[in-house]
Amino acid sequence: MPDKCSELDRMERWMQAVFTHPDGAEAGLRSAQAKACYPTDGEALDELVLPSRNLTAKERVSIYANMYYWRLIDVLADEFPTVHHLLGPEQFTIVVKEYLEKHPSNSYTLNRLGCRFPEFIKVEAGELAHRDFIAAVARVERAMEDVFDEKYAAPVTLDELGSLLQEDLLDIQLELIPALRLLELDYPVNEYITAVRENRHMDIPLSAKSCVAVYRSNYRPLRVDLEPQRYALLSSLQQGKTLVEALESCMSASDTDGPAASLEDWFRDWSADGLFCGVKVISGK
Amino acid sequence: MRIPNRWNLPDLGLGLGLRTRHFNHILEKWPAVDWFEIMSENFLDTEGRPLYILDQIAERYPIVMHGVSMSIGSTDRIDFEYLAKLKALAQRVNAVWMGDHVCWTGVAGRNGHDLYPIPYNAKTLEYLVERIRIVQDFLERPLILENPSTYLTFANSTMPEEEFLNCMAVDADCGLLLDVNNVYVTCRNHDLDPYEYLAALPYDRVVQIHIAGHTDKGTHCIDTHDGRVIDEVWALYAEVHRRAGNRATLLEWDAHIPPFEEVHAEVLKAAGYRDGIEAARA
Repeated sequence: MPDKCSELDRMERWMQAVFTHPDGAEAGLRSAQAKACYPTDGEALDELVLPSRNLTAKERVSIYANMYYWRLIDVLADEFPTVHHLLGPEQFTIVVKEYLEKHPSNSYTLNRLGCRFPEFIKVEAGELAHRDFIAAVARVERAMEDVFDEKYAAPVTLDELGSLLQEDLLDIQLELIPALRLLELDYPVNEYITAVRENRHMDIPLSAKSCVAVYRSNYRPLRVDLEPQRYALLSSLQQGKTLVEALESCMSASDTDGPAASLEDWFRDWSADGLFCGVKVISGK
Repeated sequence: MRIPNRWNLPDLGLGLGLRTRHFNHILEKWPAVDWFEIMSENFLDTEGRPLYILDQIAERYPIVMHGVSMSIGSTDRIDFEYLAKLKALAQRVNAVWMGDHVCWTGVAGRNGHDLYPIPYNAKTLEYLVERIRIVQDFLERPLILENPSTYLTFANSTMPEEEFLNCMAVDADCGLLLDVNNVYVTCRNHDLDPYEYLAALPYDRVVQIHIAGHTDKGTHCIDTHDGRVIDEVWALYAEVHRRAGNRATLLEWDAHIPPFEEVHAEVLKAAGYRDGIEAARA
């Protein structure tokens, strides 16, 4: 640390410790991190920060400390409205404070603030009723944020896709757009999320496997439930399997003879939604 | 008085902050706004709707980039990957200029996503000037840095904010974005005279002006950007024009954002001050 900024560095680390303490500025001032920078407590604060005509030094420091959590809680409440609904404002605040303490932002963009939130709810958060359900909801809501900003890839049109599929080209790879997340979940959360966003009451559903596709179509994030066969086919394609291999995965996910009758409809739907962005012919097979 | 800025950057007229809530209105009506300011970080790391909309808007309006995460006053290393993204975005939207705030936002790799104050003294000044010069060299353009709203005073500050900004702008050869609402808020919070503050600024460095609303808590003010510009701030705006002449002026309205026409009408009030001055001069 160059000498010319060592004092500034100490001051910034002290402020960060005080401003971001989950129990507020008062606790922040007494924290080990703050005292590692300046071995002072609240009483000697005036040596670092001056009072104004109306506010004490502690009150002035508290302005920044209060804003830190409220701003970031707002950001995450916007990103995870169904999680917010399930927890209620009070518990949501507690959970977010725990989260930010363990996973503070280290990015220049707020878009990444919630990227670890679903996993945090699942594994790290304190006692939570319906933890697994809430974590599943959070995964879908985070996926919506991800696809909103994901890289753009021009979709392949239905005509382009159709002409290729009519040929003897089963050894092809269909490339899926980057803005697609395929989620396998322990709860049927999609309908519940819709109900909350439409202000409808719905009981928390019982545990059951469900599959959801979250994707961006025409710049809007969408989410749809997928039957196991559709999920198997799409996820195989997303993993880079050839169409033949993907169809085999799809068949094995089914108890019936297979999805042949539905295939054309599926590909038409997916193509209309712009899920495909390229076709690669595998040579030498 | 008319003092041109040192780079002859244009007076873009009266602009608005580009906000998601107004995207549809802008695309449908293409309103007669002089220019838009974007929050730079909202358009980095995305190839979704925000960038798709911005590309269309940038074809029709001048764009200025204003960031919140450069953290020029932080003791962390300069993030050149972030700067490279800013530079690429500036090229993409043909940004007329770009800037950020005189502040730091985090240290030790963290970001508090707030504009934290720095002590105003010679050491901080020297440190900041060096960082600004490095960033400007990388971006190949002047940085236009905004005076922040601040809520505390450091015991080790040895010069007033306006003197610090003056020295910083001259020594680093950077521009200033003069936020007159921040001048009001800061002076209220530090028991200072905003007219003395304005008298000390180097207007040949002032490229842009911000106006905004704030929240008055009685004992102090918070820069909330959630309402109309109060009369006292308009008076400061008039004072800046008396001292410097017209400058590109932008209204910030970031919380409880009303419909586009209402925000636009608020910034158009500035035309009265500009026209008034022009008329008096004639």
